[in-house]
Amino acid sequence: MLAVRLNRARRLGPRVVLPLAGSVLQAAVVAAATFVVFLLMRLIPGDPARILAGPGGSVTPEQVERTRRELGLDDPIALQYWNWITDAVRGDFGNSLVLNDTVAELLADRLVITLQLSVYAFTLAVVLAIPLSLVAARRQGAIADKLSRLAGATGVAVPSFWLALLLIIVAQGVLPTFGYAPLSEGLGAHLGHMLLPALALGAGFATLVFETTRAGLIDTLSSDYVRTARAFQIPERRIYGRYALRNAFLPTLTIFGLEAGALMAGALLVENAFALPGMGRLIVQGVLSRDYPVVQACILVIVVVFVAVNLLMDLLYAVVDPRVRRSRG
Amino acid sequence: MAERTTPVAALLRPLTQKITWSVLAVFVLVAAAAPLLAPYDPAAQDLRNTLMPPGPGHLLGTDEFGRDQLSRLFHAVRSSLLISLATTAAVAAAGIPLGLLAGYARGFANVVIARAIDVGLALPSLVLALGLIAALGAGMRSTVIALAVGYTPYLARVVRGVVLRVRQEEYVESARVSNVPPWRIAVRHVVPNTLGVTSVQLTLIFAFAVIGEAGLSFVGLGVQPPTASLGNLLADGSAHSLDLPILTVAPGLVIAVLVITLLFAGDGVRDALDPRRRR
Repeated sequence: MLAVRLNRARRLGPRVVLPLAGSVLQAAVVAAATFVVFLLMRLIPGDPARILAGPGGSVTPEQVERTRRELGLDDPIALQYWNWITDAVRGDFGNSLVLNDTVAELLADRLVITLQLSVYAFTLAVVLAIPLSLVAARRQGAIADKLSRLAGATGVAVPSFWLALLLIIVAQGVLPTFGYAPLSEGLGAHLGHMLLPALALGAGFATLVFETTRAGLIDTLSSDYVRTARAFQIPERRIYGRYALRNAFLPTLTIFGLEAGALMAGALLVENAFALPGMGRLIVQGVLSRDYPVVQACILVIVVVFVAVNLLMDLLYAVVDPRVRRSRG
Repeated sequence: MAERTTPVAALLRPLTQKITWSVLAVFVLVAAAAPLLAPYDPAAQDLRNTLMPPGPGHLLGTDEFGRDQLSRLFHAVRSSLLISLATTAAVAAAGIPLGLLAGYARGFANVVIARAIDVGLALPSLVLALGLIAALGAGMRSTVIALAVGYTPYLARVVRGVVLRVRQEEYVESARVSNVPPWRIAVRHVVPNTLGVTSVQLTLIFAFAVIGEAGLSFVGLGVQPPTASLGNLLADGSAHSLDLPILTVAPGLVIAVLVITLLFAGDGVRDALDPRRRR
């Protein structure tokens, strides 16, 4: 039993270590990206110390100075960044300048809703698109290609927030089109409220997954080794399961990673259409009221999720790619 | 010898491309002539005739301020195309030199630019745009800047890839050993090779800019009312999507048709420039 587990760990070894080496570089990129976000927020006109010190003309310059010192706003910018990012790692994003709450408190519930929406949309897209692409890959030729391209283009061209409005028009009275039901109100109510938003957000992504997977499958199925396997009369099911699918799904995994950021950004817009109390409303309000601690925390969280998904995809890539598997024997 | 065809002729040969470019021409015409084509002033309110259904006086009805929806739609196409055009031009102006530098420069400059592009790609473009708008304030100019900064890394990465490939080509090598100055190699060999990929990317970026503007304006961070833009019309209409769906359906349909047309235009440009796909 132990031997099996050790063996599995050894097998996992290079697959995990190689992407992790790349992820050190990626971590540096993320750090730089967060620094860009931080600098960006410093471009916001208006003096946060003045805003926080108190309203209107009632504050003396001394009070503003004191607030500035307390907030560390007179520190060198690199030190300010260091303090912000180390606090953020500990879950402390500071206080909102406008809303009377800590940013962490504001984010907590809203992030959950945005993540739920993104994950449901993703799942829906994969469940719809992958079987369809398997069917569609068997139909090749000019017309099938054109139709597949049209589906893909439509998916990009129909913005998720417009699809959201259309779904609200069509499904009014049939499904909930407004607001959120937490899991504590029952799974049915929760999923009922999330179905239309997830559909609106996931549809475009689904067409992308469909187009990519179909192209990957056609590419693989016309390769020499599949032709050879067919010549040896290996059953079609076995060709798919053993050879074709793994290779065909590699571009799909790449798309998963690349589109994770766009999916979450889309969630912010779709939430708006369905009045879901997720991060979307928070970030929009934050941008409009120039509440920079809120905006930079939201952006940081999205970037971290985006990078985490990409790291996961790198790991999956190594697990799925047969070339890495073969190199162990 | 193979029959010589001009790129334009190759581009317009397939039927889908004829349709694509005709539709685009209509959009450009509407955008250019919006003030002439619009039956009403797009900002003129008529508070006695608010939320009118489509009819002879107002072909697409009126919004909650009694403004003529068709006139607003024409002007929205105008401002959305203008924003997308400005965004695309800005991306080209920034992304092409960046990509060329990143592919051409060696040593420290190469590393710095390449990593800068990576950093840009690590931030989802809409999210980066939100951050920029927080800093710049909402408005038409900010929308262009925010979208352009978000899309520039994508173009720069593609251009850099082409440069890295072309540099390895034998004719560039031989030009280099013949002491042709680097700027001349860049102008004569490298830049022409990037034009194909660049023009395809720019059509895509134009399409994404249309959606980007609509998304930002939909949540109130893009073009500010009363200026009509495709995103603004959606935002205005969404409040009445149940009692007057045409206000939501029409602008969204225009966005979808415009973007599909742009994507097919991109396909056409790609096929026309790629001799292997040209039939």
